[in-house]
Amino acid sequence: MKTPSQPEARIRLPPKRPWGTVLPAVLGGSLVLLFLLPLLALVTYAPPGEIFQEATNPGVLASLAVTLLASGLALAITLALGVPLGYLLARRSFRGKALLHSVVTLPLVLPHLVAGLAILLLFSPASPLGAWAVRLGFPVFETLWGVVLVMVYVSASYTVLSSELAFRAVDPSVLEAARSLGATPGEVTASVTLPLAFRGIVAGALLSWSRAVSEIGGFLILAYAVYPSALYTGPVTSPISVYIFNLYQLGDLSGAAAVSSLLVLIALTLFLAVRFVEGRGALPWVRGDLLP
Amino acid sequence: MSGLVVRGLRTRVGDFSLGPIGFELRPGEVLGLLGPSGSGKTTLLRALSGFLPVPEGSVSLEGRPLAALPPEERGVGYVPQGLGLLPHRTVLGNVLYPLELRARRDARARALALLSDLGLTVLRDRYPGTLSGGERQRVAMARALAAEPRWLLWDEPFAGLDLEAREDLLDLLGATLETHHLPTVIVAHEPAVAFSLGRRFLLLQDGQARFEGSPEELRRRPPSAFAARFLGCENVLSFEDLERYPGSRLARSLRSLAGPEGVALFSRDLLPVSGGGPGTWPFTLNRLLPLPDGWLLKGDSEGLPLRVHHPETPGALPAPGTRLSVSLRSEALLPLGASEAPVHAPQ
Repeated sequence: MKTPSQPEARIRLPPKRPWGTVLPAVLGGSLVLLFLLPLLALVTYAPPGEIFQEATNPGVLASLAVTLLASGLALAITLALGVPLGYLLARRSFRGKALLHSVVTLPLVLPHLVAGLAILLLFSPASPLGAWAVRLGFPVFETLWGVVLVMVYVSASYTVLSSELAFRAVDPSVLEAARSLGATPGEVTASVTLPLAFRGIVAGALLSWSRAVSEIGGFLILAYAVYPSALYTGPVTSPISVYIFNLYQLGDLSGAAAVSSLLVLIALTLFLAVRFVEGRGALPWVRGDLLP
Repeated sequence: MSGLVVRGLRTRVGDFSLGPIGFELRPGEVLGLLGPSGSGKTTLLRALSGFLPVPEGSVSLEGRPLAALPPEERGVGYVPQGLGLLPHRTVLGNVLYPLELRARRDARARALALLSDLGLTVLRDRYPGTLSGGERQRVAMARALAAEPRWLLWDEPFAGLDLEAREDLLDLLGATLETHHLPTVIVAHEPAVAFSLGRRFLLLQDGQARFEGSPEELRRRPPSAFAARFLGCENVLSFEDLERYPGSRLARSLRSLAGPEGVALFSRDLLPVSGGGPGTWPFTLNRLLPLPDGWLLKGDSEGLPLRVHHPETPGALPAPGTRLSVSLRSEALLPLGASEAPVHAPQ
């Protein structure tokens, strides 16, 4: 009951709503468990000794080398070609832009086996383009270049779309101000647009790289085996996903789990390293008010 | 002429066309660009600074034509709406930016001097996202000056600032313009702000120049009903309004004094008086609206809608429905659309 001594206009805090935290935490937590539990089952299946043993196995190392080398090359190509495309999509209006958007998104919805088949048909040594690629020293079928090509095909969309969003988010008035302060268009791109879009581009690049490393469908058709060529001079091997698939098919579940654990460790280390560098403020995208 | 000369400038953005616009500004002169939202103020600034093509007309500075030059070669200190501060650079980094572009050896010393001039030294390591509106405006000003511009274009510097920040910025702007002596165009949304900036301004409506001159000239002789309303004139009566109320003696009287577009009257030039008599007009009060220094009485004079200012006085206020009398000073009548309205002909 209210007494006269109680002030009428006491500040009333909004009621706490525990469900506003608990409900999303329970639902989201379930998903996190769904992510983690299978991984836990994976990394605990093979004894730790076997994981270390696989880490020194020349066959696994060759497969990892091809995968990491190809994914690095694919990422470089994706950035070099995808970021300018994202820029065009964000900053220019032109006829056929909607169609171009669909083309960029298409590899995301296409079954990757289909992507592999399409690339094979285009680049098979029997096709004119394939024959031409062989003459130029870039044979595609069952080489490192084939792995790179499939990786770019299935993963570059993420970089294009992320950098498009990142470029779109750059305030045009900032660019105009920089121009009027004396910066040429090139200087504006280097000193304003790219630094401001950097975070989004890096996010897209990480997605692209992850997608490239996890690819298998396209490899099954185009690069089941990888023969030595110009950039890769090691033994005949296959991309790591195919390598794991082979072990699994041969019934070596323990070996497949051990090599998979190795891959999980590499990916986890990379992501943690990026977060660490970002957290330390060592990359420009955490400057200013860009950090959420 | 030395200074900025704009002649017959036209440009288009989508369906919106601006111009022809013409004006001349001597060094140190400030032109207030005034008009409601969508009237073309920002479009004009973007055309002048080189971000929109100018297919017709000319822009020249100290006799040098600018229209064919890219924005970075126009020597303009352009501060866009939203200021365009670089969010990934500190306050010092922002002011350094134009100096670094010019590879100035004394860049740092110059930037620090500018920060000190504008009272920004304590903020030098902060990022724009952490500053208040007034602080951000000062950083934008310091950065624009660091580029050593030969003319200034400033889009709505006072938008979103509270009264105190506005006055501070106004003082600073005044002092800066005095020191640097540059032809300056400043966009303002509100007449009061534009009037406090300079002795001249240009009124835009729908992409057209409606008036160019001094605040006094505009107040004395608004060229159109639009201009009068924009000035804050409470009674803007078109010719049709005046003819709609044949029973109103005031309407009949105003008709003989009105210009081609009608007549305007500030509510402050109409005074409620006790009792009737010669030189007064009947007024029936309908509503009272509070003002900072009194009341706005809404009512009519024998049908003709009228708003009258009632100063803050002790004693009882008239109640709605009361019949009063108002007097008006004939010199307060503003004929609209008079032919001698000083709109500069497009050149």
